[in-house]
Amino acid sequence: MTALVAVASYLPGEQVPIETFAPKFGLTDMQIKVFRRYHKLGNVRRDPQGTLMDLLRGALSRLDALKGQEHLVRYVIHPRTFPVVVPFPMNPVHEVCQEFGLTNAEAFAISHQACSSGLQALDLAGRLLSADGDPDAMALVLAGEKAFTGESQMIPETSFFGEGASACLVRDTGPRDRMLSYAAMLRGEFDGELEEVAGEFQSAYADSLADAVLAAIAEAGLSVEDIRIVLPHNVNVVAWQRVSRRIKFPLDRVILEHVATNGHVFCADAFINYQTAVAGGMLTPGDRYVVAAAGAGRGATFSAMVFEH
Amino acid sequence: MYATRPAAPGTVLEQGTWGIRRAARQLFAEPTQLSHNDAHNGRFREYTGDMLAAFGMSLGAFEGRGQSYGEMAEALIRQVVAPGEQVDVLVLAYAVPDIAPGRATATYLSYVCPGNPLAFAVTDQGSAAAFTGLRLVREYARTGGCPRGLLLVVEQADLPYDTASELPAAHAAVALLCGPDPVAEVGRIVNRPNSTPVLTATGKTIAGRAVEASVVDRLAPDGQPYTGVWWELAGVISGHEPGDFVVADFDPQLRYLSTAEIAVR
Repeated sequence: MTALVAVASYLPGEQVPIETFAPKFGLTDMQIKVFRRYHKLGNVRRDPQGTLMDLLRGALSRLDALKGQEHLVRYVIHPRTFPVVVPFPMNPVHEVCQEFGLTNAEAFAISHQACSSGLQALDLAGRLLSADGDPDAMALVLAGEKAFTGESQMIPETSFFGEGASACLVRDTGPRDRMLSYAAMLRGEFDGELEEVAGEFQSAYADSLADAVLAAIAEAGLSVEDIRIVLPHNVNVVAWQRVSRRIKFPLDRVILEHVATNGHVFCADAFINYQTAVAGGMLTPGDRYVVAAAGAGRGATFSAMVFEH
Repeated sequence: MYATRPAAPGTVLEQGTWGIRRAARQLFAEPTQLSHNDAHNGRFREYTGDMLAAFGMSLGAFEGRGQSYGEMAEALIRQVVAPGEQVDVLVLAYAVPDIAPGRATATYLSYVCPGNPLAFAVTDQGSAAAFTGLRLVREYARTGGCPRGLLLVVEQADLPYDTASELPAAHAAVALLCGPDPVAEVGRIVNRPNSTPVLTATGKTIAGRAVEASVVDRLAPDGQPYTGVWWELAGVISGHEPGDFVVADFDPQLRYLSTAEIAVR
């Protein structure tokens, strides 16, 4: 049963207020007010001088469990919200693999589920390791992106992206944070530009994400009452108010404290929120928790996983 | 809704019960219609222009050029998935980006492919991505409750900026529909990182042009660095040529030597 081994994250020190983006996106004072008051967005992380490699390096260098174990990493999987982030054939993930001694690893990117690609990467990492049958082998899920263009800076009427990265070591089996289930709903009908599909997408968002969460819980053989906390994607607070209402789960057990300080850190939110939950003592051994994400942007995916801590 | 549990230990696919059922391949002579769309071109200009600017590069002419993997793959889906058939998992493998860099194309393909399959893309692995894709299709059949899988390998030939790498000579796509009762069994699939292009293989070899092999039965067509070996395999399968094949490719930049054992009945 797929299990997490260790998680580390890197967030650049600079926090940029969302007002900074108003001129670029033509946002009115009222729209900014709505983002702050209702969506509870505030600042986003930025590393103006840093590259994608710098973000990935930042997460990897904080992953203490990797040190001395590099030879055991068989797969480095880079889940990505945006399919294309550097000019072809540049390949930052392979470069950091060489830099960090991950020379036995196959590296590749998993994408086209937007911010849900992180959960897809975790699921397939476990399946590859299971097929190999080497109990010591590990996969490294390495998430993180730059907010390099308008599309990767703001989701209209929804969220702002923050820069950052996370690194998560995974084994086929293990004693802690065992994956119990995975559910994903792909809504490829939302294939148009965000502004074209925004209305229908917004009305489907909460129901679709709630359905994915409930499907993952059911697949794990559990009920909502069995879930201790939810680790969300940091899209905004109001979306999670709606989802928590639909699944009848208390909002104060959805880890949302980074929405206002980080913004939506692409596929890395789940791992950042996991670290917050563990550091804050919100998970005790045996607790079951949900990790959830939704990917929007010319195709929508809603996904959730259940883990046992 | 796709819902599953992690791989259960010891789950195996019985020999002979799963593999490639059907294959299709197609060249696309013309640029996609999308490349003539003004709204699309405006978005492409901003997205790709911003990406290139971060690396001190500039955007060249792009209107009316290039291909879209969504439209290419959709054409292949229509060819390879028969009426009444359904697909459980769809994997899109590519190296060269297409002209829709912000589009979740695999998710769109899930919408147009019968069965509304789980779908994702494998990329940033050069010619090894298709091998990884085929492996993942098999792993989702083995442990993920997805017996019917579709691998789509695509490449397009036009990028609007200078690149250090050889680009394909044509827009090309290959589809391998997998599932029970196969015409070609899929054996061991391996990507060897930090490798050399030297292949020692037994059986008939379908090799990419960068592979150094003492015996090559079929060489991938020139100008198809990412679809070439799969193009040849699709020809073998569609032509009902029986034999034990090793499909092999080498990515000169990322230095993967990739092999897949395919037994065509």
